[in-house]
Amino acid sequence: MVLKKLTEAFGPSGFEDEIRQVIYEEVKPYADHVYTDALGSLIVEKNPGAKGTKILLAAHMDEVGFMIVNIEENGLLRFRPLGGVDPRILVSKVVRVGEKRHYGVIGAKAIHLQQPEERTKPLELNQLYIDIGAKNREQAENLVEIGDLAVFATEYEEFGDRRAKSKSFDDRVGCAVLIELLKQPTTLPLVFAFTVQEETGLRGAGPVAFRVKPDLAIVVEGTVCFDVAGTPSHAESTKQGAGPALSVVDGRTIGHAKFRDFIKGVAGEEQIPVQYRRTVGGANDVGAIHLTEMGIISAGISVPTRYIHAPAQIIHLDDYENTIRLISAVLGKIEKGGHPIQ
Amino acid sequence: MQNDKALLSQLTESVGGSGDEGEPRKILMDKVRNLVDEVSVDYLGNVIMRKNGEGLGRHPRIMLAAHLDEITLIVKKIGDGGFLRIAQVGGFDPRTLLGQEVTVFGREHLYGIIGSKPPHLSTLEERKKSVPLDELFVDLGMAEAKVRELVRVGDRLTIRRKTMELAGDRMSGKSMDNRASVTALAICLEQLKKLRFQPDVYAVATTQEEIGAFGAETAGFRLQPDLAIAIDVCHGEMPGVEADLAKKLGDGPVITFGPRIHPKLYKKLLDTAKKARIPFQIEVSQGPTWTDADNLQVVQMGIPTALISIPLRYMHTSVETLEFSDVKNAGLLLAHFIANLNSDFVEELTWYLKN
Amino acid sequence: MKELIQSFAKIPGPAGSEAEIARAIRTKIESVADEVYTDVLGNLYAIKKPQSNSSAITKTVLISAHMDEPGVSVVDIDEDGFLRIAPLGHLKPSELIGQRVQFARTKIAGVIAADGDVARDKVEFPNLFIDIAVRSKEDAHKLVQIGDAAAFDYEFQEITPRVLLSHALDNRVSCAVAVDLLEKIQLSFQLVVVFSTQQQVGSRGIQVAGYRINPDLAMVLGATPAGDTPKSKNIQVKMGGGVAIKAQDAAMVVAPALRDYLIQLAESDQIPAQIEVASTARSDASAIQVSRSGVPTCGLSVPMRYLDSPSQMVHMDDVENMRKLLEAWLRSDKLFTHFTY
Repeated sequence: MVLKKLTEAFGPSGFEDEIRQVIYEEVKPYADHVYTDALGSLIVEKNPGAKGTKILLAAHMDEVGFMIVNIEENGLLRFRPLGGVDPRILVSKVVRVGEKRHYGVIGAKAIHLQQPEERTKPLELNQLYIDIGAKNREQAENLVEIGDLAVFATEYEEFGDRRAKSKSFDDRVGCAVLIELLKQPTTLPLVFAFTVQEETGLRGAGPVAFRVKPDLAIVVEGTVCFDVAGTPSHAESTKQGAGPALSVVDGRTIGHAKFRDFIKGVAGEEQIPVQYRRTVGGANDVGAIHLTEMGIISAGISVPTRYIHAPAQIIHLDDYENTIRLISAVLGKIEKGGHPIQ
Repeated sequence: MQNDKALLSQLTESVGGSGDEGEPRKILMDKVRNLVDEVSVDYLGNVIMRKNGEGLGRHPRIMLAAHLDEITLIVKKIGDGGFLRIAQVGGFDPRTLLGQEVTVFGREHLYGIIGSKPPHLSTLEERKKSVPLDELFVDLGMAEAKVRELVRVGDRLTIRRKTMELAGDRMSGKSMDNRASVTALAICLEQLKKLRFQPDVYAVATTQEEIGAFGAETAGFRLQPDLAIAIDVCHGEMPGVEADLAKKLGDGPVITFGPRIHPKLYKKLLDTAKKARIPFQIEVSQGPTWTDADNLQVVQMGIPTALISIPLRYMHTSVETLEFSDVKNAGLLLAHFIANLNSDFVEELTWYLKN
Repeated sequence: MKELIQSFAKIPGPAGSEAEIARAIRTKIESVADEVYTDVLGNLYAIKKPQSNSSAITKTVLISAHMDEPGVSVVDIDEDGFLRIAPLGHLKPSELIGQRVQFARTKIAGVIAADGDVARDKVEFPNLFIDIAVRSKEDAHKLVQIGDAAAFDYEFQEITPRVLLSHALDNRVSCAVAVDLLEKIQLSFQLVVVFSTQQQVGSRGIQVAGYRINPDLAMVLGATPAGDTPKSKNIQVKMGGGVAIKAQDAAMVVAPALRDYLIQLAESDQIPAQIEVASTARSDASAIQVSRSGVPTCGLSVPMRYLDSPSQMVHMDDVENMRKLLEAWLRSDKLFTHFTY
């Protein structure tokens, strides 16, 4: 199960070694050429040098995580986040720490010990610590060192109505979509990029685009979704089960309208549900890719993901499958009809 | 050593704000001309000091980047009475500006004071708040007409500060950020005269770091090195600052670990320091380092990048304080790193996979 | 020039939706430029080759004037046909209430209003909507697509024969100056004028244009806030006080040699000029300067009152002086030699 394998792999922003190796093993049988770049992005080529529209398909493999920055006298670990994490969600969650993937719990003072006014205030980062069970600094230093990384320890499970929960669907679901697409036959020169460091500022994608120089780019994301009761349509960003979400405008990109319309048209022809991403907040690798060199026509297609950047994230498996179907149909149409914009 | 300290004093007492680095550029170029094979200056004012490696075959290309610019102020308006209104070029803490003596670089160098309202005249409410930059003004002690003759909007000014030797090996002054690292570059180039090495070295004194690291970004694009090391300052340890955010003065240059840093370069720097018995400290970062390293890492197809820092107290004030041995050791570490570098190591830098 | 400014100012061109304004500019320059094209980001390029008797192309100067203005983009449509919006550029949500807008693609008119249950000073973008006077989502969909963008819609006025008032004078004034230049000038080097896009959201258009053209020298034409109104911030530039020569803006510093050269030219040609230090205003200059290995970049700006509002005011004297100094600069003998270190 590729979703389980990918989402449970370790790979905080800038430290993608484990997830990169997991993806590498998955893609090796289907790739014509695989390599990494200076930042560690994994680049997989299919039909390099073939005639036809060269398309870059990108998904970031990094996830939000934490770095151990200090070890206290009492063996507790101070940490800081890599990427945007809301400190309020951290308390009483479980993480895996360091090369050995030790379990750790994020603790805080028990409610019995809190003053009444403390209970209404969210906990700040400097009040939180990771407890790996070490009695003192010496014991902790035998297990971890400063600079070690941690990620949430959530396991993949399917539940409810075609739902799956795990950590890091943002953006391992995009990585899974790319892997499934890679397995499909095509004559197009395709480049699949599993980029690094999206969560700390869209760092990996620009150098990849500069290297690849594609005619078109599609970024596949797990994007923000808040379709819970009482939220008006424009405030929920996306809705689960309503299909892949097309980006319109976000913090780093004004979407390419013609390419978006082309993708929407293909969805219509193939009767694949699609929706628009209805918020301007956030950004994805399109922000870096579309401004590379002389500009690259790009689109963002996302699987709606509830509770992104939190320990337990939810996707709808129909959306996941429809995202694969949609991009597959888009590629098929370009394979037959050529570059859709000129 | 005394020579190197003199260079640091000379560099810090010269004035070179972002985009206007002429004075320190000249001092540096005079100093290094005999140490390298070529010195050139590009459009953005970056000083590129090339030292060729030896041996046949491909020489790895290494870029060292230490920014030459410093934070300064700029005249924004000549107000009534000839008082100057000012804006930042870079980021002074406005609270440290009140009552400072300054030099305004107008048609001639002018003495001025950043005026402050005496406590006798300010209300209790006013005294509780710090004065924002927009309310500060510079008093040149001359009539408005004369001010208008000698000063125009866009002229730079900065705090007057003699560089001081403090107790022990410590020094204090303005623009230690980042002339300390520029001095480390010069020390490295001097050391390289005594060492054998294969790489072609491009030591670059970069411009405009304080307003966005523009010099490093464009120099990186031009030079396309195989790897790059930025040299900058980091916060020196002092009361009230969390342990991971500040390092000890005198305990050696700081080697940074984090997403912006290539893991193999980090490790190689540690190994080099251990082997050469150069003291060092480690700093962990979780995202931006706010140095030239951030921009260099994503130039073109990406450059494997590392960061070495010199611990410094009171950053972005006119009394930046450091211990000189850290500057010296940063220079030595760079030189030994270069001497240990070969093309095999460089080729491994883009390979992350286990087969 | 005034007519040109007026004809450009009345066309809505919010960031990312500059096709209409680009078309209007293209109509004017097609016959006077040697080559005209657009790119992926919608930038419009006009190439003017060197005079035929000169030797091979050795130097290229890029002049940029951004075409876009602030606006809003439709991200969703309510059941009742109200359009939910996101900002394009730095806009304060509370200041948009009651503003009239016009859509770039369709010219549909509307007014921005806010949810009734939020206090005016607490209004955020998700509370705002555009009312285009339809009754249902279906009717709205006939007129507007998701992603359509609208800009402010205010009449162009001549307050006096020499003072103009309109939205989008930032930066259609510069577009007009650049068009007028293209019509009249012939040079011994290659001139590329880029009418750039998406400046309001962070100079995105010029980023790829600068990379494409890779010029030897660049000049950015723009607007800068004037500080000659009651209790204004500490800004020296005055409306009607001359063209502003950029020394610094919020994102970049002009090299002293480039700035001083312009100051000298203004003095020797007796063109009224002032110096711009604008610590809050951004321009395309920063993005060009860091293009590739770095490009020497300077800027001329028109002083503008109420720059951050839909009622922007400029003085024609300043516009004409920008035009004059720009030409004097292009024709000056040390153009390519004054800035080397």
